[in-house]
Amino acid sequence: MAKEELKIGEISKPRFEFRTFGQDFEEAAYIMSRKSVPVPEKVWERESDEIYIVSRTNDVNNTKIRDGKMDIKTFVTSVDGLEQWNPLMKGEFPIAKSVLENDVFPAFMVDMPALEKDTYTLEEFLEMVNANNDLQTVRVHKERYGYMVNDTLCEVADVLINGAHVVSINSESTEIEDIKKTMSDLGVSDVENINYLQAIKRIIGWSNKTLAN
Amino acid sequence: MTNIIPRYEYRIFGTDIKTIIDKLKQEGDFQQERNISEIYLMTAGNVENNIKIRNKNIDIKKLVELNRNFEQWKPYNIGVFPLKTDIIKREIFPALGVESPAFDKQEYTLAQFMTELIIDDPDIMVALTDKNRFGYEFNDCICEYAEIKINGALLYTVAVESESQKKVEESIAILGLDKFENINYPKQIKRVLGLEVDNRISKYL
Repeated sequence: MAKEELKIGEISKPRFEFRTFGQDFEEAAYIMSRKSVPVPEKVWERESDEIYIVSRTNDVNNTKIRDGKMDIKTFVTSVDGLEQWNPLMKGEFPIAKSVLENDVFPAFMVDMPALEKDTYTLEEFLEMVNANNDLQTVRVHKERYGYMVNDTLCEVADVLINGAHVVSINSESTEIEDIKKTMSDLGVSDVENINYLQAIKRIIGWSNKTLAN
Repeated sequence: MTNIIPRYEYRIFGTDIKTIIDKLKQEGDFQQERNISEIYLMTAGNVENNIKIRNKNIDIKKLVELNRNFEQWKPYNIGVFPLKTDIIKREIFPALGVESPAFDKQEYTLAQFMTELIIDDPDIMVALTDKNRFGYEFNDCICEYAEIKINGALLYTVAVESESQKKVEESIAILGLDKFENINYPKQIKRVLGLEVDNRISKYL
């Protein structure tokens, strides 16, 4: 079967991803920038402020809020250490009680709070999150620099997690072999795959594992 | 316990405080570089005790005075692991502000203390810190800048401390620290761990 050509910004079939977090990926970032084909100007540099909601009770659903919109992705599978996540739901605030009941709180896998209103603003929703000891909101600021290496979408990112700085690099594609080749080219084949959820949990002390470096 | 004269301290944290660091490098007399790994024990309710373990030694700094935004901390050395259960029960858990667990040993090594009493307690959060500290003397104050990794995430800090509040006030004005919030280590670590509600989240809404 011919592989699907990835185009930046276009929807493709679900992608596999390698991502890691640490302090020093200078050499990998340099190689990424030199091996990259030219990419659209819109992905040269992107900046965003997001709120992640982490749950003590699971690592399979990843919830973030950006520009007042909530996005939940769910873990599908892992092949050779590369992870595939699919969109589970997207919602906008104010959000309906039924969406919170049927999609959002079940994804957190925590006890359902009493929902007495028909709709909830973002502030009201975050109040419920902060009232639950198994949930936590985390501030994430991202400065992302996009590349394309071996037909995989790549980025180097400076990330502030609750104000503290980490560096992230990634390579994602529908094609596993292309990601593996990219990891090899970047010298990170032996580096642990750490997704955003795991990195955040390690930094906020919910996991006793360390970052990649 | 050893009694030490309390010092006033003003400390700032950030990822973009290079101008302050450069000023300290320029104006201060360099003393020494130290690389230190420490374990901080954090709880949501505790704001008065700074509890940390370094080289198997646990000490507690108590906030004894808050005067016009200047903090005065008094250090108490608790001891070196292995520690007697009685000391852990009498000194450490009350300082953490959480209930003591059931103890089944007369004394605990650091590894036993962490794995059996701390890590599984949902009310206690652990912050592993690596500090690369650069000490300076400036205006009769002990000063430093440091790169600090909190559970692997990087921040910079600059601090001025002295037994004289007046000297601290003068120094922070000259170095420019007074334009930033005075934040102590436990408070900053709590912000990274998300144990303290940070009003800067409003920017994200």
